[in-house]
Amino acid sequence: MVKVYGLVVLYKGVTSATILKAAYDLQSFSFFQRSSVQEFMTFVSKTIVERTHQASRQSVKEGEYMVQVYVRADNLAGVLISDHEYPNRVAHTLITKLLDDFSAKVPVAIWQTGDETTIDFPVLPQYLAKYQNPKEADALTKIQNDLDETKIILHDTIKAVLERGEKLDDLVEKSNSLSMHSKAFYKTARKTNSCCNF
Amino acid sequence: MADEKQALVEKIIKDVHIVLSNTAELYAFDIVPVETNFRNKSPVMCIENCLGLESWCVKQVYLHSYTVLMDKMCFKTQRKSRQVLDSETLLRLLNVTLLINPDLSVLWNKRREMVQELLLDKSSELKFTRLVLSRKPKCNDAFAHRRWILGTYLNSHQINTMESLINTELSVCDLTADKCPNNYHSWSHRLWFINKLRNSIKQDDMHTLYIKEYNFSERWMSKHVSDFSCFHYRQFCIKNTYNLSNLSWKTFENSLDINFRKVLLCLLVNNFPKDMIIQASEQDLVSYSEENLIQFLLSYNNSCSCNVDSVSLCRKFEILCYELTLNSELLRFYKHHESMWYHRRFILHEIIEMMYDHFGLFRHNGVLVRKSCKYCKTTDLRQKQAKIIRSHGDCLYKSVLFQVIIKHEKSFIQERNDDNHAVRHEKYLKLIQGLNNLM
Amino acid sequence: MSFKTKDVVLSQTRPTTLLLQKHADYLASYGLNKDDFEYCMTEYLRMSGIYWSLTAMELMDQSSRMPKDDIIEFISLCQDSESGGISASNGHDPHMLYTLSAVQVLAMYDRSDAINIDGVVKFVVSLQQDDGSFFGDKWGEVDTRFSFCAVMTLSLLHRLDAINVNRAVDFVLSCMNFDGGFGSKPGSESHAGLIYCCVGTLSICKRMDALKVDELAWWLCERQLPSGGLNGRPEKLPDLCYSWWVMASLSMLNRIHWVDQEKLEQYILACQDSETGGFSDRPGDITDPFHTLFGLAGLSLLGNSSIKQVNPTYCMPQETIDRLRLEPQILLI
Repeated sequence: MVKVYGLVVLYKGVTSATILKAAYDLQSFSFFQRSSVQEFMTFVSKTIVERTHQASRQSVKEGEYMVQVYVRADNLAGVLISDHEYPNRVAHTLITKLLDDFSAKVPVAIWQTGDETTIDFPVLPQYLAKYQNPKEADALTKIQNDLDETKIILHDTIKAVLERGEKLDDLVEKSNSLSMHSKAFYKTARKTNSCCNF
Repeated sequence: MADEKQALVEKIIKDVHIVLSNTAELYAFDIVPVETNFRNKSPVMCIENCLGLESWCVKQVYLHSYTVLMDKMCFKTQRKSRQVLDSETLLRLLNVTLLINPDLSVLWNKRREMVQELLLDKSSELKFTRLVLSRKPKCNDAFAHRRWILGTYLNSHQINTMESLINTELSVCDLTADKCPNNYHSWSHRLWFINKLRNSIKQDDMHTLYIKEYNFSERWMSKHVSDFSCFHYRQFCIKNTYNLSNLSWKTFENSLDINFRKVLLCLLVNNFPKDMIIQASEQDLVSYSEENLIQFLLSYNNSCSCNVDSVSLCRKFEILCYELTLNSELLRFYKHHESMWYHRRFILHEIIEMMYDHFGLFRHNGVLVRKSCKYCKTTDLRQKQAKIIRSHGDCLYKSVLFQVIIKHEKSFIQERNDDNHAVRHEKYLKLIQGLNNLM
Repeated sequence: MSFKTKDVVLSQTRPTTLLLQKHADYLASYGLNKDDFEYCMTEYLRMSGIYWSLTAMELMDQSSRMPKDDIIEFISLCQDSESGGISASNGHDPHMLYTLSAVQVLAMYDRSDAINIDGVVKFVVSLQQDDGSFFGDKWGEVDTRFSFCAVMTLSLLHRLDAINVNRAVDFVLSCMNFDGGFGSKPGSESHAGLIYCCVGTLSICKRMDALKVDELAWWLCERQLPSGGLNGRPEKLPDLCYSWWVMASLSMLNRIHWVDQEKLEQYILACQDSETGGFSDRPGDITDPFHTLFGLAGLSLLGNSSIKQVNPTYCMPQETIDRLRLEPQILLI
């Protein structure tokens, strides 16, 4: 599949990252899972941005998902969550473009203090819809050929992004942003061995 | 305490039943992870036409319903007590047990018996299996149940709304294929269904359906570039277009908004071998009849006097060259996907196979074999065979089409040399397709 | 290989030696410590479960730890007197899949007398169709798996002549694809598990000559991933059970050396659970008897000397196949 599940704009503060705007497309998930999936996507975006250096890009594979992260030198950060098939190069070009547009519309002054409710950036869902087809973004990638793909740091799992001694299970357990329902969902989602009879 | 538990379980089963019978368009079921009954209310939810069951009660509900089903109405060992359960209670238990564990063939068998005894309605069975598949999109027993129901429908011709039946079935396949990549059961089911319809609808409608499925598979393939199951289905769709009638072919071309002939000619002129003196430009070729074009591409005179269906052969090459172009585009954009490379193998295999066939040859385990003409059944003398095979083979390898295809592949492999699969592709063509000394 | 290759990474701390005793203990106690819920969830495949566990135990030469008398009694109880077929468990319906498992178990115990053999033959014969295919049961599903079940069941009972073997072979061949592989029905996608079933059918019917050997073996060995594990179709994750489906097929084709055997062995060993015993589909997942059998059988094909020799066609100990004087065909190179 070629699919984008989420686009998130964040501000990377000194100790933590805050969500400035987010859009999700979770139609492909079961109705009862959607709220938990969304909470997790937000949680993972925050977690990875907090562990990404300024002016750098990462592509993190986690199970069936790819989390593409770009933190700019001015601490504005963008995350694109997709499946494995969505081309990395296109994803990163999109994030660059998204952050350019965001900084053109939303004054720098409110990045540090703002949050999802106060910030006005209504075009995000349109981006999400438009870029479901990465070929739409292809024109863009042709202009922005300066993206150096070799500079994107690749990680095979989110574990590789965490700092020494950190465990995802603990972070999930401690998180205030995840509901009890989502934590239960996380536990069941882990390793329920499905029968392999194709 | 035990009584209390039992009452609760029975209440839950009843609640599920109420949702199932009161919601006309229930389209999804799921077990929702909630570890304990902390809210102290019914674990059965129905929101936006989705049925949910909280996970804390699943074990108890299942144990109860499964045991009652197996013990009380048990199909063989205790036949005496068989009619203890009335069909209403039986159905309630079957529903809830199969929603939790849809792999229980014995319970699906029971439902089929009930359909035969007119205790269950076929259309509601299609709805129920759809619900099961919304949670377990790979459940073969649910697909098999649909096949059984559809089989009885289609064989009895008791269907008056064929169109809606077809749409529903294909939408169930869409749903399950989208939820679960490489869903073998979903794509097999789709293929089975299309094949099954051949005996049930008119040829014209069948051709319309082939075109529809061809276009569907093109869209799907471009969005599921690592899902070989959909590429395999695409191959089925391609082969179905070979048999379109002249009229359907027109509709087909119009539906695509693509000029097949142009795609073929474009591939040709861009890959004419340098050392070949070609007497025709693209403009010339546009005006060629199918017969002339085939003569130009394969320049071969059959040893028997049978006519080759140039129009049909030409269309096949057009479809396959279009597919090759499409595949190249996808590979350039998405890169590194085995499924697309495997699909390319199919395209090339088809093209080469057709050429062999045209020259009265086929390959078996690496060796070229002469086949008798399929129209007049002319066979050559045994002594002459080896010689004929050699000369026909030479003719084929020197033909414009063959040379163009080889050149095109070589340059594509060169272009994609940073992809490991390109190297594999070359090896495959050389060692398995037998092109070792030819490219 | 690209970053996007679907595969797993073997950890440094994975098991690298065969934990034979752990696996025998695991299987000996399997079922004893299962709660009612799990027991009821899997009862529909109980007969195959017995076959997986017993064969694994046989290969480890520890089958005496299985409750032989109970098993044989259970099988007798599962035969349906009407159709002659055998079901997965008491109260379930007879099916080709479980009829085969039961016959395999009895063959290993040399106790085919515990069932009505004519009944089994009658059941299998009744399910063959005009085109040579087989239904799985009276409800009419067709699948190449059932063709394999039919010929294996009958050959174990030395009654292969009861069906139309030529037609059975023709049907299987009608499921062959351009890549040399086979699917579940004519026109269905190639799948390593179904390839095993179809190649196995041809091996038992001695018609291996009909295969597109090069195409098929090529496709099969391309199932190996950088981790050493094998998948069953393009761009799927590796799964231990394909160490059996793919390797057994390659063994019948006499081309087992086409895969990197050392890396595969590492992958198989990594799928062991050093605490609980048993093998799982991928390293770190929960173990089960199904994957335990195919892990051990895969290692046997790779020549591991602490495991008995397995027959690639029947997935049973070679000594059983020899005792029954069966000679499934293996291709000469």
